[in-house]
Amino acid sequence: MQSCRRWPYHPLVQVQLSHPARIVEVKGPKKVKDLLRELNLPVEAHLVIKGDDLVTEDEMLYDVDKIEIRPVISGGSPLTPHPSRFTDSDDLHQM
Amino acid sequence: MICTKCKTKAVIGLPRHNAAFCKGCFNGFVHDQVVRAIKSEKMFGKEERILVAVSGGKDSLALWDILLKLGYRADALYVDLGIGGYSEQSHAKVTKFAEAAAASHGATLHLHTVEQEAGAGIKELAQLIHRPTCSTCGTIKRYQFNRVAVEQDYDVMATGHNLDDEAARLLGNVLHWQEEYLEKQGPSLPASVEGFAMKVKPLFRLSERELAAYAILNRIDYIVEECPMAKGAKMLQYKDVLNRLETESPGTKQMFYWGFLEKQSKKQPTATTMSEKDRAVLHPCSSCSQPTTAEVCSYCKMMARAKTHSSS
Repeated sequence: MQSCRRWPYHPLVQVQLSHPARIVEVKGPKKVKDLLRELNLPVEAHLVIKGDDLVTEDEMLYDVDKIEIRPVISGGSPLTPHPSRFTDSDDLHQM
Repeated sequence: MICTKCKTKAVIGLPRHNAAFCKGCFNGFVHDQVVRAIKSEKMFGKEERILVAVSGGKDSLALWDILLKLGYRADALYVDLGIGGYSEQSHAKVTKFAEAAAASHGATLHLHTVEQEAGAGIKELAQLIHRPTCSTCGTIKRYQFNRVAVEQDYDVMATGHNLDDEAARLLGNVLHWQEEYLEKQGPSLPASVEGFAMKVKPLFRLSERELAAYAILNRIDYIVEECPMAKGAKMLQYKDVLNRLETESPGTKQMFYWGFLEKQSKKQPTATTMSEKDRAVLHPCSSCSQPTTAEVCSYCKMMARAKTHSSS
């Protein structure tokens, strides 16, 4: 994997990542699932977008492709509160 | 990858179902899963009025979109928590969806702004009452969604909790052996006492990845950034663990949560006894009349402290 352009310029697969937002470049051709594995990103927690379309894990990425790997996980809502705070309606009707 | 149903090019593979779908068949799959959830848990019918809790995230906007497309009478409520640029952005996404998509179905968006009532945003409120921000957020959202649902005569309140949310919460409760909370981990909670709206989770059969895919494929513009207050939240850690297991062993999350629901349905008390338990411990808050076990509910206590603080 390369993190910056080399000179003389050779096109690579441009990969947009989140958390933190950054762009990395990788050498193609490469299967989507192999790229996710190399980046240690679980398939179940990510989607790969090329243009306006989703890309399946078996698809091949080539140099000059531009893709986004979008994390799909959200949610910081609390787990059920500790029983010591089991004192009002909010706690009784956890959603 | 080829679509399991129509044999055209697939846009998503679903290992837990040993299937892959093109956009059209995937939308059909998602709608079918929601219909199955609504019917199997007897959540609501076509004539009932539904209040959807929307945040600007993929799950809640997808839920609103799906319910409207399925022909349900679904309005929504957005609670502006006052988290700087994050709230501004999420508010804008919700408004955009309401105007561009929901309005054509005759749906209404309600709005509650925390700063207008409390004089402070969620972060300041959490500091004031010495509780974690996510916990304070939960208290405010549950209170406001219930209040609007009851005051405006909605039959049921729907949230965008998905399979990942429920599996992660179940894992947390099991890891800490919080058995007393397991009874209320089902996808449908009855309006057990006067002042509580019925609450349902129509997305419990769909994973977070499937819902993100639905939002992207249907051009639903949602907020991708994680809430800045959620960094390091335990839920995210549990989800990460479950997703690593799911990637290696597809179906793990649904076996864990659906298996739990199946066992609960065989041995747990019915909704009636859950209502009986609630009726035994709950009474109206002396300040706002929403059900509480205390003299004054935690929301009213929090608002009282906020008002005292802002006037001092």
